[in-house]
Amino acid sequence: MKETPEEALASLAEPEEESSRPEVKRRGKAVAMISGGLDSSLAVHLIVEQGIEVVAVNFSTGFCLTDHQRLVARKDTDPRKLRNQALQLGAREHVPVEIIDISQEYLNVLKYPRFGYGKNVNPCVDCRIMMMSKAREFMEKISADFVFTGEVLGQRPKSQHRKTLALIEHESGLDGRLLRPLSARLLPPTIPEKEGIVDRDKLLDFHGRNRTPQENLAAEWGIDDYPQPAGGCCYLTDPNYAVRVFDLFDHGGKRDVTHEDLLLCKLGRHFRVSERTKVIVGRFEGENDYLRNFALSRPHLEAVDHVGPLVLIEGELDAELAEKAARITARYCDGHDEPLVRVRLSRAESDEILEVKPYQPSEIEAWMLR
Amino acid sequence: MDVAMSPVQELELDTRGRLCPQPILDLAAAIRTMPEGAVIQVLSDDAAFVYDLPAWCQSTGHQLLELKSEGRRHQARVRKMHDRTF
Repeated sequence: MKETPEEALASLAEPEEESSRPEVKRRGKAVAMISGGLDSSLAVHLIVEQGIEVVAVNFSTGFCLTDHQRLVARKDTDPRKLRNQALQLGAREHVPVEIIDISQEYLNVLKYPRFGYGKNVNPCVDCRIMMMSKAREFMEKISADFVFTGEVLGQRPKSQHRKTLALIEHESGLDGRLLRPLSARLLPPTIPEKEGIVDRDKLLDFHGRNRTPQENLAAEWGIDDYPQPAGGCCYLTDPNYAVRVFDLFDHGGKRDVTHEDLLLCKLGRHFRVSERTKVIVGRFEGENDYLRNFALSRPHLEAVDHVGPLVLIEGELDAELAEKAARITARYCDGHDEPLVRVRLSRAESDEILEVKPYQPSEIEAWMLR
Repeated sequence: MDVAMSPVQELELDTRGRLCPQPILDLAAAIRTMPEGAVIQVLSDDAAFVYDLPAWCQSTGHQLLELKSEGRRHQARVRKMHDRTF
């Protein structure tokens, strides 16, 4: 667990000695854990090409970047950019894809990770353990022989060290039945290799962060329909998002944080204007439209005479905080250079017009969560 | 998600207002309750549904009988085939 990325790469030993390689003797069945990115595409292709029956699982955590892009997409966004990549992979390889919603259980993993966070608010080790435990349950349910992933040894600093890969395999209850086809020849042989279900000679020895070998192989196999940049599909690795979530944990009480709170952290600019109050400012049309879904249950503001954002207030509200929120609203509307701007503050019980001086950027810099 | 039976006994699934992966999750759950050969009608206003549904059908083996769109309102009919997952 304390291995640095450099140590991890240095520890990439030669493949372990194998006294004898079994012959491939029967068609097996496998569960693929896929995102639809480059690595899982290659892993599925490798296993399908061995004549093994593959059923794929794709876990929905609620933190997929593409899912978020759908929420705030402009009306003229090319829908092709919003496709579910896991389904595209399944279609390409004729592999059934089972989408499994783990978003509710995932909340606890995010709040209380046993193995801590990565660089941001990404509980990658706990996340992998949870997903692989689910994949094991699915493997047992469909009577499959093993689970495989597109993981590459040493590719990610938090979750793809040699020791961490072993830890995840053990903690998920998959000992010996978790295959990483792209790095398998650098890892100990798994049960499906020993049993002859998988031909180890046809597996790969990719390692490290360089993606060129994968891209070359994809080109060779005619696989060109995968998202760029590959693998970076999780919101939890976003530094700005992490700042907002940790602020939420600090100010809102971690235990009470909900999916809606976490969803709001993805939207708009956030200003911590007091210990108990936060202001959220929409950045573009799609965000404003989506934030409107939350406005019914929250005080919200909009400029009266100028085009501008929808602004939500989270938490307590008094006259001083209302003025701060109104001045922030004025700052981000088209009238920000005017001496005074009229802003409508809407609450469940009433509307109120506030005439305020827009803030200068330097006045709100310290409140911004980023 | 609203599920109802039409006069011709086709299941109807209204996923409007739900975004990926929910429409496909709803469809997958509904189709598991149907006998092979039965048909389900699906409504969606998810922009990428026109890509996701054909891909899901191709991957699972269910038969996409029809997919038509009016603006962002999509309507599809899918025939349940043998479940290749189990």
